[in-house]
Amino acid sequence: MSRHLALGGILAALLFAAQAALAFLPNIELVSLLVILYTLFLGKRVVPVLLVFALLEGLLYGFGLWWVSYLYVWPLLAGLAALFKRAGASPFAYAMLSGGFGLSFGLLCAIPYLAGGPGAALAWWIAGIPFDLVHGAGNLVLALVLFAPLHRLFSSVLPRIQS
Amino acid sequence: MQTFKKNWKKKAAALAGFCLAVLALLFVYTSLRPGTSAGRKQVTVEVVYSDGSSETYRASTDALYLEQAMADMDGLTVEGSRTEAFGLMVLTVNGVTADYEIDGAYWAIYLEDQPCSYGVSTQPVEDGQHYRLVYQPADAPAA
Repeated sequence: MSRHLALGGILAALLFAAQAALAFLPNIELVSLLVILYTLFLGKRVVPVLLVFALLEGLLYGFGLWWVSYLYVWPLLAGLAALFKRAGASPFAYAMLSGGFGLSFGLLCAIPYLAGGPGAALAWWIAGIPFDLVHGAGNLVLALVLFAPLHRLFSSVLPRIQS
Repeated sequence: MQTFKKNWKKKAAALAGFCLAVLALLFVYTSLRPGTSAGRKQVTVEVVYSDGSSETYRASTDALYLEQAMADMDGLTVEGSRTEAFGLMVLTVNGVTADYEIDGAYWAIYLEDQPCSYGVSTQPVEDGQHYRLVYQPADAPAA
């Protein structure tokens, strides 16, 4: 139990470090790929890791309206990754999932802005579309390149820690 | 061989779907983003510093976007980092820097009392508009 807790903390910290390390590149990130990989290895136990990650992000950047979306976008990606796993998806399929998630990120994150009316949420989403295009392309390329080597790495490291 | 061909077709279809989604987003963006208006405009920018003091600048300008309009304002200097895709990210206004990485603060851009959805390089300006550049600590509520 304590080993799982420690592992969850380390994985949440790794997510946070990966986000902060690439923060200077607008919407180029490794978080999506790591969330997919975590889900493949941790299953449902990925959820607390994602919540700790969201908490750390809020502590660093402030708990603004954007933060609400972090409570559902990453669990949604994890849920989709779990469905892909059940369907026996290939690394290419996971790359497409990551790319598609990047393209739809702004739309998903616009939901809390409905509090200001549909017009405000729509304007917010449209203004961010150039960022979503970069996000989608970046996610696709990073997953195509890094999914297989990271999967191999996790396959060799995580079972040893968990057992 | 047959399986390889089948997989190849699936991958090509998935990539085509991804490209279609990109095109759809581009279409939405170019169709629905606010348009620019030509002609002379009176635009004001109020700079609100961390201590709450403020200065107001005015320009009569033909600028289409806020960045150009601010460049036409005497006494106002705005600097920052620039990317080709996203334009200018404001970091320093009149020598006062709000770099999130260093100061834990940023320059927030408001049109009247509403936060702008666009950066200064893509925020279209119209006659009579009043903008505010507000020094915003990250943990403070929006002005």
